[in-house]
Amino acid sequence: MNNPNRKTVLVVDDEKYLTGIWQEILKMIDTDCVMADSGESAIAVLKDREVDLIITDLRMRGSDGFVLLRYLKNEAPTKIPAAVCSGFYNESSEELMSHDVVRVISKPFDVREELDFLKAFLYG
Amino acid sequence: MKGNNLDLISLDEMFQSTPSCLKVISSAGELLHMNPQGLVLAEAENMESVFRANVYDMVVPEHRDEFIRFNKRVCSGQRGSLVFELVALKGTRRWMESYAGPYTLASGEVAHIAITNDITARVETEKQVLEQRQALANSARLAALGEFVGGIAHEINNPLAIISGKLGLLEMVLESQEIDKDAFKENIREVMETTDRISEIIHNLKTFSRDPDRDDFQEYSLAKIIEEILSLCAEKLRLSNIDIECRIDPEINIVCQKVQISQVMMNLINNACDAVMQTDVRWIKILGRRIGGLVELSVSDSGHGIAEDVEEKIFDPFFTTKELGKGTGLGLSISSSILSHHNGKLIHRKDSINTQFVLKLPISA
Repeated sequence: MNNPNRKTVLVVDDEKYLTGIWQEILKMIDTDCVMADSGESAIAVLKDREVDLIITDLRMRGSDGFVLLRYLKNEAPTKIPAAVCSGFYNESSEELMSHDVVRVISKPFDVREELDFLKAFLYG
Repeated sequence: MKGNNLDLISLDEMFQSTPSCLKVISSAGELLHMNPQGLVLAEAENMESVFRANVYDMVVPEHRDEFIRFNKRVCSGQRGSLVFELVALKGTRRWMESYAGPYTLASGEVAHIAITNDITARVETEKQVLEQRQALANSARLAALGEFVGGIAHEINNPLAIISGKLGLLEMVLESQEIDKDAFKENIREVMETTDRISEIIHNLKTFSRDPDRDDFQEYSLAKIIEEILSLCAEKLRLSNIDIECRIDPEINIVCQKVQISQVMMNLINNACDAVMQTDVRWIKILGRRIGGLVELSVSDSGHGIAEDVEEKIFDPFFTTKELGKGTGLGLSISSSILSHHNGKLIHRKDSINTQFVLKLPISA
């Protein structure tokens, strides 16, 4: 199936089973998934290719999600929507508020709900 | 004062008025004589009713053998003191402290003469102080653990997200037409592997929060103890970008109270974490090796070290350089007393370039 409107989502998490889950969800709605395991490596991916949405964890080993959010806010050439997926939303909410995030997903999350969100956000 | 002092004082009155128990016991443990204060403590009506009564029977069973040995020693000519508990004739339990020496009776037989005081109040106070100290040590231990709770929560939350996500996916797969059995099984295996991650953390937490009263001296592998503590601290260290290097000789076993030694290590790692947060280069090194008959376990960090005026106070209770609400100021003082209790030592190595604390413990045979 060659969908000309096929979108790409960048998933950033240092848990490979979690990125795997996002990959499965995105597969169900015919969406490409690229993965990164830290803020820095996500920025490297963005320099290389275009994506339609980013889903990122906040607390990761190495450089965390805020490194990526700051890049998106201050340096990225185009505005890319980002959703945050974290178990620690409250702890960092103040800093999070200063960034323009389209959705805050708290871990653990409901797969079906996120599937609906992605469908509506990307293709709705 | 004129004349002989016996004009002023009668020895019998002295005996009657002495505010301590004054008594004579035979080598067989029979009560031969006792002053009124002694009768009060023994809850006896009068001397006649207890003459030749067996004193051993009044001593609590736990202390009886020791009391009998003490009596024999005294009756063979030695002096000494003994603390024991007795049950008085009407049932009151009392802690007694006795100072005794030999006393030769008119028959030539050597008996035991003693002044004995009721020290129940003092013993009870000491017990209370000990209980309070234990309660304080417990809360300090939990406070140390509390510093790592954020990391532990993160460590549990991620696997939970994996389990719930995978199960959500599997549910959807069941509703679809085609089921790839192998992929399904693989997902289940990953869920099980992920639950193992959680149960390991819980297992290690349980060791650490165990009731310290049941923390008996036992032989443990030093490497295993350190591995369990590190698994609790690991997430906080990773998220703070602190490198941890740990080298423990796997052959080393120590006889210790595991929870207590874990508490010491957690305090030291916690302090090291706080110290390196202020530096760009962040590492903590833990080294465990055998030096002669001792185990040396050191915790060093890349922090700026400890200022000289601070250094002399670090082992004082309630001394802390951390901001209000962060440190209890008890970590090092409690750690130090834990080490003494283990016949070991906790020292701050001043001659080290980096901040370094060293635990010295006797090695188990």
